Amino acid sequence: MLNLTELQHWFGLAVIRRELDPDLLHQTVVGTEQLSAQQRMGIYAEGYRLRLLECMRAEYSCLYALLGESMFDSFAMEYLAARPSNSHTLFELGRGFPAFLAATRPAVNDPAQLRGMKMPEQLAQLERYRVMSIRGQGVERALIEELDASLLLFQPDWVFRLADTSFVFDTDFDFVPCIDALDQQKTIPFPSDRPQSLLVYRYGYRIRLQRLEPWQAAFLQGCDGQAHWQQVQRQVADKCQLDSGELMALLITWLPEAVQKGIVAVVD
Amino acid sequence: MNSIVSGPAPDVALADALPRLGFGVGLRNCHYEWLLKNDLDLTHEPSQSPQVDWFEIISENFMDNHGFARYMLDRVRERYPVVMHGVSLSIGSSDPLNREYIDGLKVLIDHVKPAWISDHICWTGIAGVNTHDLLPLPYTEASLRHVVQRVNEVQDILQRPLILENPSTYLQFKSSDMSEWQFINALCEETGCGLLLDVNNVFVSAFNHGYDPEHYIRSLPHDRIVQMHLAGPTHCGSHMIDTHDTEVPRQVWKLYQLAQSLVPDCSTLLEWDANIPAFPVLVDELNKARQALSGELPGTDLEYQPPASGQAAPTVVSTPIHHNLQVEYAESD
Ligand SMILES: [Fe+2]
Repeated sequence: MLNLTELQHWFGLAVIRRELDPDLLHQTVVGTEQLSAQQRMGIYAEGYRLRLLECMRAEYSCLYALLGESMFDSFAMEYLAARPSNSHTLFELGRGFPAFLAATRPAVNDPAQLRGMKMPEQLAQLERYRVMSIRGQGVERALIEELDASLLLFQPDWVFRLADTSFVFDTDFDFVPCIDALDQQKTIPFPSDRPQSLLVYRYGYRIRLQRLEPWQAAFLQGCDGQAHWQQVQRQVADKCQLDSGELMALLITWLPEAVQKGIVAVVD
Repeated sequence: MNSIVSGPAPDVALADALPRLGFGVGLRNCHYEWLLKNDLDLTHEPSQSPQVDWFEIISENFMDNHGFARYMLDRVRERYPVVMHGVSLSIGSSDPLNREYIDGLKVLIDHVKPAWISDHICWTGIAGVNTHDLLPLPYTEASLRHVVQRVNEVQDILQRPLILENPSTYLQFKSSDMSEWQFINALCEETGCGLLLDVNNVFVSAFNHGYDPEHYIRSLPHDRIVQMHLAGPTHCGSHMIDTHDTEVPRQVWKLYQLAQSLVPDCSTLLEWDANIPAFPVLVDELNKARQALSGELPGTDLEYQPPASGQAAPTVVSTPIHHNLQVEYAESD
């Protein structure tokens, strides 16, 4: 007879890795005419697989719709086999999926083909940011002070930080129509090749997706909670090869709106 | 509550030391919008028919979640008693107790101030891997010693009694030398913990293992029962699965009547975690519990419905995902 620890290790292997020694099964589990020991164990093994798969499909629903069930499930099952859950919450289950897709992407030499291969990992990253944005603190319950262009100009030392519900990232594809279709429960189009910067943010507890101008992306990426905003402005002007005055004009119009929408916040 | 510490059960019934909450439902995100416009809208005229008295939350769905779910929880707490129901304590696992999890639970307890907290008599993982399922224990003296020691430890950390639920099970171990109800009696007696009697789980497990559900319920330590769960399972012919995706069947209502006759006014909670209906439909189902207590027997008998010829049996998953975690879908307007 297995002791409790041995029994749980054995049961875990049977459910998680589907490794089952039939002799040990019959020594350990009661089988009846109604249902054999193997069928009983199968309920747990199948439940494990389907439950976690359902969770992955829900978290990466746009990718699931685009790849179709069999391809998505095979990626997800490979991921779950390589990275079984080690957290008390299923929220952590899919955390490593975008990186897993990137790490297991087949090697190809043709640049166009290579870019196509990156679509799943980039869409997965976008969907992960959306789920992270849902759970962040956000700014909905914070008191947001009205900000305007003239106030900003007199505060060159102000420091901004991205809200914990905002995520900026660069992608090779135009995912906006895909996410719009997902949210409206319409057929999801295949994303077209169109390199761009995207922003996921939350406003009024709703998750939004927005295309960013290069200067907006660079500025948000520079909002590290430490640098003065006009310092960031100068770096962005260099990086994007924009006239400093022109960029300043753009920023003093856009920043108050970005604060009001909860994309960035002023650090006290 | 702080006076209740681990150790042998005191003479006073635990249910008498805790509030009797009436009839409640699980708080699920698909109902947030309806709740905001109705039950949580203070300007809204309360409807004539009895509504929901309290809510149960899945603790893990609200730990480390500071978004809309937390806002809703705070709104609900302003108006209703809340109970925290966990699925990841893994009280029966041979792995060490997960202190990080228990600390997280404590933070949520301090925030929510629940009427009580509950989890399951089961284990959920081993060797650091969480299966996110409620797995069965062998009912042996060694398991009992292990679980008693851990329940005492958790109760000491949290400074409150744990309320533990009987699980739905699909297999039994040959090493078991006591019945589930004997195990529960000993566990409650030695630790002073409470029991969340899931009437549907008794129905499911009794069918799967061929024992008498009424005998099971009659044999429990009734003075330790502080809450009951009701739910609808799926009949798969050779076995039943705890799916929480349908109405409560008549057989479960009958067992509920028996349980309530043994533990009068015990707090009742309806679980519905997949194919969740609109809130008013959920409330209608909950009101059948009130009807059952007035002597009527609601619901229809659950019978096996074989799939139409040529069709495969539908896939049935135990312990649905909503029970574990609502992976909330990003909403847009
Ligand atoms: Fe339950």
